[in-house]
Amino acid sequence: MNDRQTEHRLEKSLRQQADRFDAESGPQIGMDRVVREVSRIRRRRTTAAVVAAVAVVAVVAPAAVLVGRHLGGPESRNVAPVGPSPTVTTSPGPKPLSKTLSLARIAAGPAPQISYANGHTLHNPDGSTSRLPASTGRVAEFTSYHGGALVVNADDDRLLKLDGRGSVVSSGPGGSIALTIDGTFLAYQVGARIYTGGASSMGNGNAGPGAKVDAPGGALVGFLSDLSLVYNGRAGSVRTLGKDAQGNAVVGTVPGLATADATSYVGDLVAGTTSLGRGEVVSATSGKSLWTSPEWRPLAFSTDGRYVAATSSTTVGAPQRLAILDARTGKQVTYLGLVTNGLTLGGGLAWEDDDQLLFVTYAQGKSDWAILRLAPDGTLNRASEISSAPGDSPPFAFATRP
Amino acid sequence: MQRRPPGTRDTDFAEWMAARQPALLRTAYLITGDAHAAEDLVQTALAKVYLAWDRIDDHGRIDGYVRKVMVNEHTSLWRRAWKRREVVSEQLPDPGHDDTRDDGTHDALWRYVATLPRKQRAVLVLRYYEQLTEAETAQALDISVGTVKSQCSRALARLRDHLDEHPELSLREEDR
Repeated sequence: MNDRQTEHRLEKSLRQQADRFDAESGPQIGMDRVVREVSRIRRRRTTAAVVAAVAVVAVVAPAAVLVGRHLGGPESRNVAPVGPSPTVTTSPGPKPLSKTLSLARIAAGPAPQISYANGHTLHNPDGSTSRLPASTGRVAEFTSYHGGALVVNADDDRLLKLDGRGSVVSSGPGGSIALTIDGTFLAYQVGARIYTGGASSMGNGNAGPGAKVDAPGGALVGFLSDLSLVYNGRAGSVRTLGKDAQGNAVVGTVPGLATADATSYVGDLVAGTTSLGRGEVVSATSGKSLWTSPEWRPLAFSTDGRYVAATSSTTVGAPQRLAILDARTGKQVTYLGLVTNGLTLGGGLAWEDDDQLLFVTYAQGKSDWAILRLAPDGTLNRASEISSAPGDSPPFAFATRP
Repeated sequence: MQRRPPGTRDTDFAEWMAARQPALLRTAYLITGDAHAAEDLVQTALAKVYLAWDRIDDHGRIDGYVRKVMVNEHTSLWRRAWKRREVVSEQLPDPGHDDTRDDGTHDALWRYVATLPRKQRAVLVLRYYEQLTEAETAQALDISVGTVKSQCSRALARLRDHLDEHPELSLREEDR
């Protein structure tokens, strides 16, 4: 088949699919929906401007203090304050920031105490590094596995299984990984099959035939305390995969949620969103909702299950704010204005321990990326070096977290 | 171009929206692969056009503006990054109804398109569905013409390999 024939086949396929959509699409979007969306965008812009004034002081002031502490001596006095003057906080009206937060001027904190990748270099908490082969492509997530590693490619979401020498043993579509809190047991997904097994025992990592589930790619969410696995099924359902006394696979449902994003081993909590787009935390044991909110989308529980990291709800575009919430009440503990500070989340969020939240971000318009650390008291510091990469290609990725 | 008289803004916008919405939804659907996501995307794009309506002097360029908004929103880092759940699937994201005119090759090709990275898929949709030139595609996606060429070339090569591996999906006589 030549190029022209291939192009022709593609054109025809796209046209046919578009025709199908026409045949089944519902009523058109009316002015009422557009006006509602306009109001929401205007509200976001107004809120963002107000939030900016507060958030910059809440976030940047501790950063400036840390810069002073870190450097010490007379030089620290030469460090210019970041962001607007404190008078901005008293400004009653919306006042957009004139400049963005510079990653370089956020105080440098300790390196992440969890493994992370910068490009193909893996950094471990003990300071050691290792290299992934370039054939893994851009890394979205990884974990050690049977002397080798499992890696999820960020561009095509394939899961690659590497042996101890870094050679790709196998790969498949739709990769996602889940890990127990002690790191000894994991699950990974290839297509519609979920494989479970020990994470670090000897052997070639063959986890048996796997369980076939009705789930899209990237479905795994995490484990609960009884080692049942939470995953996103099709058609807006959140499922659990466990075993009965005879060892047979048992699939259950987590009520209330349309999609899940995180589990907490402590308290058996599941965080996600409802079919109405509200953030919610549900007890997997009782099936009861602990809290629900139209404002926040909970994404990752702290190791002790006390907190949950959340972003402001958004259907389109990057979230405006990142927050640490009380996992059981949804009450806001602290938050960081993102867009208003010229920061954009790069997707990766991970709890370093019980109360330190790491996240990958880039400074808009600068192609500068870094891992930042947010604590419940609102302090912020930079946990990594600054790395340059295009705005759509985060160089950093965290190892899979429980 | 002359400014519109005051008071006609909503009427003008509503007329334009009614005329262009079906086409925008089709493009959004091909970009997202999901009917609900397509609606969300178009709704946001329409709202942004509405907000910018008075600042757009040349209405001939609105389509380009909307296309840009849609693609940028869809390929935005955050939407793509968190868990990436909606991107990859072994099955069609939105299979639709049975089409008795199709012998299955169309579904197979669409499944292939659905597995492509978002930006690459957007390039294909703009080039081979919207029939934009390489330069227009590059402008809509804020990338270079060279990148458009390489993305298309790579995607077509993969598609060709795919078709070669599955000869049953190759062109039938009437397609030639």
